[in-house]
Parts: sequence; structure tokens; C-alpha cells
Amino acid sequence: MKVLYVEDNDDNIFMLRNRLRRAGYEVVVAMDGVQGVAAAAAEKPDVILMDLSLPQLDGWEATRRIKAAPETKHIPVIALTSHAMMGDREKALAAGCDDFDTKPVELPRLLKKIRSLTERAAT
Amino acid sequence: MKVPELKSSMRLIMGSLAILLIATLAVQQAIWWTRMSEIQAIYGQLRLKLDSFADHLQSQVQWFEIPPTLAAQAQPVTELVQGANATDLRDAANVFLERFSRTARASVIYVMDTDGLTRASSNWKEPDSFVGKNFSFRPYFKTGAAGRTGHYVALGTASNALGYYVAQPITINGTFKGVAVAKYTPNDLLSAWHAVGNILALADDHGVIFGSTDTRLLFHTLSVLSPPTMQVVEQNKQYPPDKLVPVNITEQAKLGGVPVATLGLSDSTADAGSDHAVSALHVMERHEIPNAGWHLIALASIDENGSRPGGIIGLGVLGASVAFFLLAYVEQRRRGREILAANEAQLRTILEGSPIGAAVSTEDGKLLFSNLEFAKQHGISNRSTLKNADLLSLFVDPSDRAPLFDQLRRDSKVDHVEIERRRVDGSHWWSLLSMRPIVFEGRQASLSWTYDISALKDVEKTLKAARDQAETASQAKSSFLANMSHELRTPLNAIIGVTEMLQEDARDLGREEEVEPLDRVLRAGRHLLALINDILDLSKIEAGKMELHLESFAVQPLIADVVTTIESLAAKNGNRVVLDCSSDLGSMKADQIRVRQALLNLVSNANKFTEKGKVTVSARRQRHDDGREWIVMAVADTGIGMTPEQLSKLFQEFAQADSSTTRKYGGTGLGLAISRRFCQMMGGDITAESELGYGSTFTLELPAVVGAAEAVAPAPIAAIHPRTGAGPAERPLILVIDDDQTVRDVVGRFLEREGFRVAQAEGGREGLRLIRELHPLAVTLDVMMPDLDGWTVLAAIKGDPQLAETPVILMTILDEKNRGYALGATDYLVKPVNREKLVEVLRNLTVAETGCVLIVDDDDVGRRQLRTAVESLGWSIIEADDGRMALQQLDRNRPDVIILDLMMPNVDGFEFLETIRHDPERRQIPVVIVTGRDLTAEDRNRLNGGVERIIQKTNRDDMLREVRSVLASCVERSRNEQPVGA
Repeated sequence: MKVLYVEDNDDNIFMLRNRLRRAGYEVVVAMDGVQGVAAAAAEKPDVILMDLSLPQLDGWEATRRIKAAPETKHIPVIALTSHAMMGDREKALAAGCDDFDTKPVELPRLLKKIRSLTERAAT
Repeated sequence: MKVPELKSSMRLIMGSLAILLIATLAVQQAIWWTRMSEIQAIYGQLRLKLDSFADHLQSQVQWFEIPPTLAAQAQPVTELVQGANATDLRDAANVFLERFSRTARASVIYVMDTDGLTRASSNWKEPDSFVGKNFSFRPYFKTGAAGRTGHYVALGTASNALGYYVAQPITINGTFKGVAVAKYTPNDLLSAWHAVGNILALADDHGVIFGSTDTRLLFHTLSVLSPPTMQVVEQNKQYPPDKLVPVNITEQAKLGGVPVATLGLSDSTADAGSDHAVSALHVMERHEIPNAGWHLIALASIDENGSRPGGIIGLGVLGASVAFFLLAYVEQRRRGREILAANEAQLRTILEGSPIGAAVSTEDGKLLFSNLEFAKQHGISNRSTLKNADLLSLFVDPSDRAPLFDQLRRDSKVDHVEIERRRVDGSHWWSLLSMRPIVFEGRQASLSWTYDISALKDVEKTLKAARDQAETASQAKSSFLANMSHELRTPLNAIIGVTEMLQEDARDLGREEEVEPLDRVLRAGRHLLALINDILDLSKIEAGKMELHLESFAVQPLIADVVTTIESLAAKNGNRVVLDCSSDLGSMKADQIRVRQALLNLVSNANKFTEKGKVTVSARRQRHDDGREWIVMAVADTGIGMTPEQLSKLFQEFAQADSSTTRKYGGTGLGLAISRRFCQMMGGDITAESELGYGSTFTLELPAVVGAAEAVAPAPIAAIHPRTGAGPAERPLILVIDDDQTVRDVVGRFLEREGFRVAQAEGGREGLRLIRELHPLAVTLDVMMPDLDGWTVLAAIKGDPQLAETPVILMTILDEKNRGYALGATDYLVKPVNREKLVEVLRNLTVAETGCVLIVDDDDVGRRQLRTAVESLGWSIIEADDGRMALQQLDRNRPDVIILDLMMPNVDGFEFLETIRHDPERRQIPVVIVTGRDLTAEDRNRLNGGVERIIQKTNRDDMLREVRSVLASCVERSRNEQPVGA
């Protein structure tokens, strides 16, 4: 399983990449929204973990673009955010995200979400 | 009260009186004039009448002369008087006279001869014949004999009736031969007088009234008869003698130019009804009948009967005026009373309608007056019951009442006293009472005003409750902050501490690949800690719970220190840091830590946002318009600068230009906001200028003396004295008191690594026990512990003389430095504790193992003192008593520290310093100035930058403590500077 992780914070990348690898996933990283959209098309991951506060292009817009492009629109996107505000969830879903998870990351929970989305996509 | 009304009513009365008087006078005058005219009219009439009557009478009198004249010339008469007493002549004359008397209308005509004998008479046939009678006594005979006509009125000798005699002398050939007399009735004379109501009196030549319309006047005389005349009259039996009294005609003053007289009759006849006419006022007129020598007097009554109508009118007017005056007066009085009543009613309305209770009472408790509100206030519906009320019972505390009256006597007033009162139904209420003395119904009493402030009291209560609530809330906020602090820092404590521990283990065990991830954790943890600290700081500031800790410190060293701190980071960005301080900076009084924090924040920002540029830190001392001195520091960089929009958002929390800046450049985004807040708390501010692409300048201004609340100076570092058994060679023992196992482990392990021995105590009680047993060098003390909290333990330590000297370092998540120092803590560290700081503090308390001190002082005693003190710490001493000798010593030895006095002969301290500064090797040696001299600014300038510390020789203990502390820090620094094994 290939995961595209779009995130600009180095520590987060370090941590999640390692942990996902330990959990058996292949991890590709993009560090901003533009690179994220490009990587989605290029790498065709099974699932995209999209941090919402990104430089260049924010996560919502990146998601929208990915969902708009025919070759990437089927890829499930999980939005990752530390925003605790009302309406973030709705906003994310409105942008086309398939699911939503908050930081700090709780790995079992996140893995569960990844699994459910990828299994669904597979069927 | 309408007093002017009263005056006007007086005026009205006076006016009425005046008008009345004038009217009366006017009427009187009118009456007078009327009367005068009346009198004059009456008089005029009278006069006319009298004149005409007098004329008439005159003619009559003249006519009455004719018969005797004719008789005197008649032949029978003349023959008679010439011849002898012949009978036939006599008879002829009688017959003639008889016939003649009838024609003459005389009652008798008779002739007398020269002897007075009546020779012939017309009444010769009657019984009372005059013939042969001798009337020579009659005056008319005498006048006749004298050749004149005589008029004579008298009583008849026989008839006793008044007769009027007119006599003519008979002269024959010029010889008197006899008198011829005619006798008439005098009453006939008056028959022509027709005036009714007027009195006419005819008086003879003697003044005897022989004829009058008023018979009462008969025989009265016009004036008193003289005695001879009286004699004559009596002799002649002319009139009735008893009547010959003067008639009381008294002339009065003329009225209206008219002769007036009163007529009074001294008549003895007491006629009851006639009094009024007799003495009445008359106008009078006189006339003469010259022939007869008679007087005519006419009187017309002018008594009030005639002017009665005028009098009535006058009286009427007077009466009317009096009535008017009385009415007006009564009306005035009535109106006055009405006004009074109206005023009283008005005042009463005001008083009764007042929302303030009014009462008049005597000191002994009698109620003389009360208004409606007073009754209502006390719950009394029937006011009459108040009259008998016991006023004391209206007070909840009766003893309140007497002092009020005392005060009233003393100050003549009682103002706004709050008294709790009781209503008749027993309920209480609060009144605001004012009293004034008053005399009421003649008695000395008190007028009191009571205002019901029960509602206000309730509001007061509510406000107090609200205030208490707010205070509670504020306290809750404080404890919330404290708890939040604790809750947030405690886990971080573990995270950072344990991770550090793991990292060291990793290094120790050679597992290098683990070091980096652990480093990430540490960095994240520390970043989080910084954020939490900043947020908590801000919250504290916002809640007003942030304390400032003011102290005096040298400005330039602080700035230099900050610059030093940033130098390595600056080098990483390729930046040059330039220091530009004016020489007169001196010292300032502020919260040193916060000033440092703020400046460091500015400088690190400047460095952060600049690459291969220059950061200039400048400082000036200025006098501003407020008359105070200010320290102005500026940090200028040649970095990326800011747009105006970014500049405007600058000091907002978390708005570090924009969030991407935070990520790129690091930091919490709160630093500037916090720095600025602290500056503002100290009375200053931070301002910024910037130009995009060229750089920014941040200016920090603070008053040189910050006038915040007095802060508590930290307790001086506890004196060191040798501990039994614990010599300098032995590793010092530190007792760690904390209820948290983790803390104890982490701190303990770290301290051991640093060369200390560590003992642990779980709580306050155990801690106190261990202090007594082990006598540690120092104690680290947590505050928030379950059994005995740190404050109590600290107090216990300081309160026990055996333990009081033990230095206590408070280590807690709470930031209550002032309290800590006030209670005697040596130092105060906030968890998570900066380990370097802890070590520094502890090192300051430890004994230096080796060291050499050069003591330069010309004062033997002082030098000896210092020597003793420093030697006890294990240092070795070199001494010099002036600068020159000191320099010589330096040639031979290299001390670790120089303790230098300033005032010395030959080469003084300043010169010595100058000299050693030039030597690069020597100038490394830290120099501590210990001087008794009061340093001027100039002195400080000279010393600036070249000395470690300046200690004043004030208090010996303080001074020695400071010296020890400085020595310790010097050793510490020198140890750090030399590479030592980990």
C-alpha cells in the first residue's frame, strides 16, 4: 500500500513516515500543496494523507484539485488537521475529503481510517 | 407666607383711614358751607323783613303822632287849656275827644293842663275816666312840657294793661299850655310782623321790651337797667317790676359774616319742652325807630334743625366710611387668615407628601409632631397612636438614641447617621437620620428627618456579595492559572526530563541513531514548553496577576550579556552584531529578568529575520518631557523588513507577520506581545519601524526607575559556614524534597552527575527530619505537596534556629518569587527547572576547591577580615597593600581572582586596573572591587567593562557573603571555560 503524505512540518514527516513504514506502508512525501497535487498524479497512491495548513496551496484547495482531476479523483483523501474549530470538518468534507482526522495523531485510529478507505476502494 | 399681603392690608387700612378722614373733613366742610349759606339766607331774609317792618312801624309811629297833634290844635282843646276850669269847655272837649278818638283809632285821647291834670278825656263817660287824674309823673308830660313829642309805653294805672302813649305839647302863642295824649294798644304795632319762626322784640328807649312775638320776652330788658333808670321805671310803675331782667341775648362770633347771638331766657317758668329753643343760636338784626327811640330786634333761629339733613348726610358718610373701613379691615384680616391658611395647607401638603419622615421629639422621648411618612415608615396606620408611642421602642438598639442627642447638643446637628429601626410589627428597617434642634410649641426639641434606606442597604448587600463573588472569581482565576500551570507543566516535565535522560543513556550506550529522534522530541517538547510559558505569562498579565520583581542593576552589562548570548546564532546567519552604548547608562531599577527577556526577544528576532546583515543594539539615557530619566534601547537590523500591514499586526498574539513566518523562522509568535506587555507594566513601551527589504528598528523605552509595587529583594545567599564533617574535600550533599518521584529521580541523577551527593524526601515532614539528620549543603524544595506544602516547610526551616541557615531553593511550577524571597528562600526556580541554573545556584553555595585570591587593600583591618572569610572557604591568599605592590605580586603569581580596593596610596585601584587592562593575559583575571567609596557615575564609567562586580563596604556580613558568591561564580566560570570531561 502506498501512502502519499502531504505535510510541511519536518517532525511530523519524520514521525509519521517512520510509523507508517513500521506498519507496513510505503510512504511518499510532498511538502506543499502544489507538490502534493503533482505527486498524487505521478505516484498514484492508494490513499492520501493531506495536512490542511500547507504553504503555496492549502490542503483544501489541493484536495479539490486532486478530486477534480480524473486520474486522481478516485484516490481517497484523509484530511489531517490540528484545527479544533467548528466547521473545519464540514469544510474538509465539502472540499472532497473522504475522511478527517485530528492532530496529535493517534496511530491506531488513523490506521483504522486508512484501512477502511483503502478496503472500500479496493472493492 | 405672603408677607407683602400683610403690608398691603396695612396700607389698605391706612388708606381707608386717610380717605375716611378726608371724606369726613370734606363732608364737614360741605355741611359748614351749606350751613353758612343757610345762615346767610336766613339772615338776609330776616333783614329784609325787619327793614320793611321798621319802615312800616316808623310810618305807623309817625301816624300815631297825628291825633295828639291835631287834638293839641283843636279849638275845644285850646280853649280848654287857656280858660279857667269851665265845665262847658270841659264837656265840649270831652265830646270832641270822644268823637275824635274813634276816628283816631286810639283807645283814649285826653288833654292835660300845665299841671298835669287831665282836663278832658275821650273816656269821660267810663268808670275809669281819666278826667281829673293827674298824670304829671308820666315822662311824656315832661317831654311835652319841654315842648317835644313823647312816645311812652307803660302799664295803665287802672287797667294794668300796656298802653302806648303819644303826647304832644299844646302851645298857644308859643306858650306851653298843656299836653294832648293819645293812648294806643301796643300789640297792634306788631301785627304787621308776619314772619313765622322769627322772633321780634320791640323795646323802648330804656331797652325794656314792651312788644314781642314771643311773650316770654315781655318786660325783659335788652341790657341791665342802671339803678336810676330802674328807679324811674319803678316810680312810674311803668312795667311789672319783677320782670325787668335782662334777656339773655349774647352776641356770638359772626358766622359767615352774619351777626349771631344766643338767646337765653332767664325765665323761671320751667317749661320742659322749651329748653332747646331758648338758648339756641339765632341770627340777629337790630333797627331803630328814631321818633320813639325804640329798638327793634329780630331773631331767626339757625339751630341745627335747619342743617339736620346735612348733618345726617355727614353722619351717613362718616358711618359709611367707618363701615367701609371696618369691612375692609375685616376683609383684610380674613384674607390674611386665608393666605396663612393656604400657606399652611401648602406647607402641610409638602410635609405630608414628603418621602422623608419628619418628626419632632423631645429628649425624654415625647413625640410632638410627625408627618405621614414617619408614621408609614414605622408601620403605623393610625397616627394618633404615635402620640403615645415610646420612641425608644422604635430603635432596634435603644442605646442609639441618647448619643444622638448628645451629638445634637455638641455640634448643633446630626447628619446622615445610619440607624436600624423597628416597626410596630417588629420588622426592622434601616434609616438615614438627620437631626436639628428646634423650639416647638415652646419646648426645646429635636427635628429629625428619617429616610428609608432599606432598599439601598439591600443594594449595598448585593454589591458586597457581588464584590465578594468577583473576588472569589478572581481568586479562582488565580488558582485556575496556577493549576493550569501545574497541569500543563507537570507532564511536560516528564516528557522533557525523561527524554533528556533517554538521550543521555543513548549517548552513553553508544546508540547514536537514537539520539536524533530523541532530539526531535526534546525540541518539540521545549517548543511546547516555551509556548505554554508564553501563554501562561500572557494569561497572567491579562488577569493582572503578573508580578514584577524590581531590582537595581547595571544596564550596560545586561545589554552586553544579551549580545553575547545571541552571538553564536548570529554567526549562523552570517550576521554581525554591533553594540553601541552611551557611557552614561549607569544603572536602572526594573525587573531585570523581564528587561533581559524583552531585549533578547528583540535581538533574536532581529537576527532571525536578517541574513548576512548587521544587527545594531544601541542604548541611551535620556531625560523626557515628564522630567524623568529614561533608558532607550534600540535594536536595528538590515533584514527583510515588513509591509505596513505586517507592521500593524505586529504586536498581536500569534500574528507573527503570518503563520508561514512562524514555521519558517520558529518562535512562538507570542514573544513580542509578551515583551511589550512587560514593558508597559513597567511604565514603558516597545515600538517598531520598518521598511520592506531594508530592515526594521525596534525601540524599547523604560523609565530608569520603575515605580512599581515594592518588590522583595531576594534573600542574600546564605552564609557559608563549615559544616561538621563536611569539609571542602567531601562532595556536598543536596536534599531534594518533592512529592513527585520523577522529579526526584531526574534532579537527583543530574545533580549526582554534577558532582553532588543527593538525598531524597517524599514530603515536607520527611524533608524536615532529613535536614536535621543529614545537614545538607542546600535543599531543593517543591511547593505543591500533599502532606505539608513547601511554604510551610520553608517557614519551619527558617523558624528553627538550627536549620535556619540552610539554603533553600524553591523549585515549583508556581511563580511566586516575591513570596518565596519574603519567606527566606535563597533562590527560586520555576519548573521545569533549567538545570544549568540550578547548578549555578548550588555551586554558589558550595565551597570552591582550589583558588587563589589576590587581596589588594591598604586597610590592614579590612584586608584581614577578607582574608579570614575567604580562607575559610579554602582559598589561598596573596596580599598587597597598594597598587604597586599588587602589580609586583602579579609578576610572581597568577591569582584566580583579584579583590581590589580603590582608595590606596601610590597606585590606586583605578590606575591598577588601567595597567592590567593593557596586558591581555592579566586582563582575563576577574576583578572584584570592594570599596567604601561612594562611586560617582564617572567612577563607574572608569570601571565599566573591566570589573566582575562592585561591592560596597557597607555591612560586613553582606559584603562577605557577596564576596563568597562572586568567588564561587568566578571559579564556576573558569571551570566552564576550560574543557572538562562530561
